[in-house]
Amino acid sequence: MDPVLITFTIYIGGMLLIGYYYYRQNENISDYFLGGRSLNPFVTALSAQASDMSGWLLMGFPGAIYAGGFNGMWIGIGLAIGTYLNWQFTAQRLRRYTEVVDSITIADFFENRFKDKSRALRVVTALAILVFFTIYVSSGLVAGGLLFENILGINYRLAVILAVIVIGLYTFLGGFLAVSWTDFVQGTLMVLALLIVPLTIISLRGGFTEVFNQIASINPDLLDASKTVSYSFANDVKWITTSENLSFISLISLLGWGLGYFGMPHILVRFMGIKSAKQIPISQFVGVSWVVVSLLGAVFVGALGIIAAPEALQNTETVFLVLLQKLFNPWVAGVFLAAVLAAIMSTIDSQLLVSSSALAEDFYKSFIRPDASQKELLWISRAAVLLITLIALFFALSGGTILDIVSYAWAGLGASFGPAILFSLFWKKTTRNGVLGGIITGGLVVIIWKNLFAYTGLYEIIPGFFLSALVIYILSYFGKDPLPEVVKEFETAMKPLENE
Amino acid sequence: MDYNLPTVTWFWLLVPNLLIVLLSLLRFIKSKGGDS
Repeated sequence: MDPVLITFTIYIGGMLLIGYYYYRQNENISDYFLGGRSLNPFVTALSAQASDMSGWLLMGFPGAIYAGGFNGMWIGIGLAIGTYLNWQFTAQRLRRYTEVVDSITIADFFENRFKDKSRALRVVTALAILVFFTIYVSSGLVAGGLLFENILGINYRLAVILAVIVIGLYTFLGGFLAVSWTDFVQGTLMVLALLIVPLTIISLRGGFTEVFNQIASINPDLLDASKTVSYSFANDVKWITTSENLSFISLISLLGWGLGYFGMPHILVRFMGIKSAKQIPISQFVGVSWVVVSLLGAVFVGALGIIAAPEALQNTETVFLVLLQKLFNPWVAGVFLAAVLAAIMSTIDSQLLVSSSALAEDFYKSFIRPDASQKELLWISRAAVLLITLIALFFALSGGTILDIVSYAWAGLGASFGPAILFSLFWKKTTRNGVLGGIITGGLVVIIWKNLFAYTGLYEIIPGFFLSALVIYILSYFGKDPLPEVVKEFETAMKPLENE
Repeated sequence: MDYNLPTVTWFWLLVPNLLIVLLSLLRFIKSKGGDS
């Protein structure tokens, strides 16, 4: 049997075992979605980062660097800064506030934060989650498909279906605790792969100076983060400088990715699951260090692919897979290819969990069966995982690159929820109508911009985020003052809680 | 030590990343002192 396959099988088996172990431990819905707020700070840190970084980190992002050179690094810088700001300002406050208003999901939080009896906030939140996460999940299935196609040499469609079975099964079984623990293992594996692979190639190629000289000999502008280079597989000269300098619009579009963090429900719930808000600073340090090392590693994987891949790549997003298979011993390659699967699984599982909670808690329990038992809800959540996976499978089979699909979903979530979360946490006067208007505006502007104004080159998250913030501000400013009860809760959540 | 990498590249690649790790470390050290 092929060593790559053996490593892979062991890896998948291990993850499923963890899923099964926690399957037997989940007794109620809060366990399934939030692990009963019992996570230690290291698991919180790595699971937040591993949930964040998907197949995008090992495939989409290195693919962009491979195709365009170092100017793609601006996305990474934007993301690193966004990660830092999210840990620094959002994490602790959100952990406290969700405990004060007793919420286990983002929709719960909005509803309880604003004492919204109309259910409008809950429905709009759940709807945006379902739409954009289904798109996001499909990007993971595309990545999983590419991975299995490359490793097993099977047809892409079959590969995607295989990915669906593996990922769906263990999210279905384990829920939050399983996902958090497997995320922890997967996060460790990802960062090791992103450290070891580029460093090995750099030393094999004679060191940094030599590597940069070799890249410069192909096109010196590849090394310059202020130049734009385009890649074409069909041409004899693959990398051509397209314009002198990176435009301002391109630069803010790339950096603008970082704005998305404040609105990513699958990352925000990790903050909510930590045992105590006091542990956030240690988690932050671990999490931010992880993300910096991983993003730098991914930049170098893409750049090294330009000189170390044996031939030009038709699909640039396979650069990491190709480097592993061509340059490493198959046993080592097997472990690191499992890291790619880890990246994909650790994101998709968290997203499936959040989406299934939207269906089970926000639609089923709220509208269909308010008296549903915990056990019934647990099963509805599991059925929801399957349903969403199947819809995402349909999208995945209809094409698109990982980077494109992720950027759309990322913008949608970031613009819908980012300003809403920030205002809810930081501005006492924020009103329900403000947040409701903000979520709708953010989501719609992203969809409209993507379809009508993409030609401007401005990434849709930027107009979406700022217009959403503007709507929240205006509606809240001119709206009624919040209830005294809401103000009291806001003030309680601003300070350390009594039980910390 | 510019390793043939243009200044704009290595500066922006290293400085913001180091800075956020350092600021996170400082917050952690401060939180150990009792004030989180």
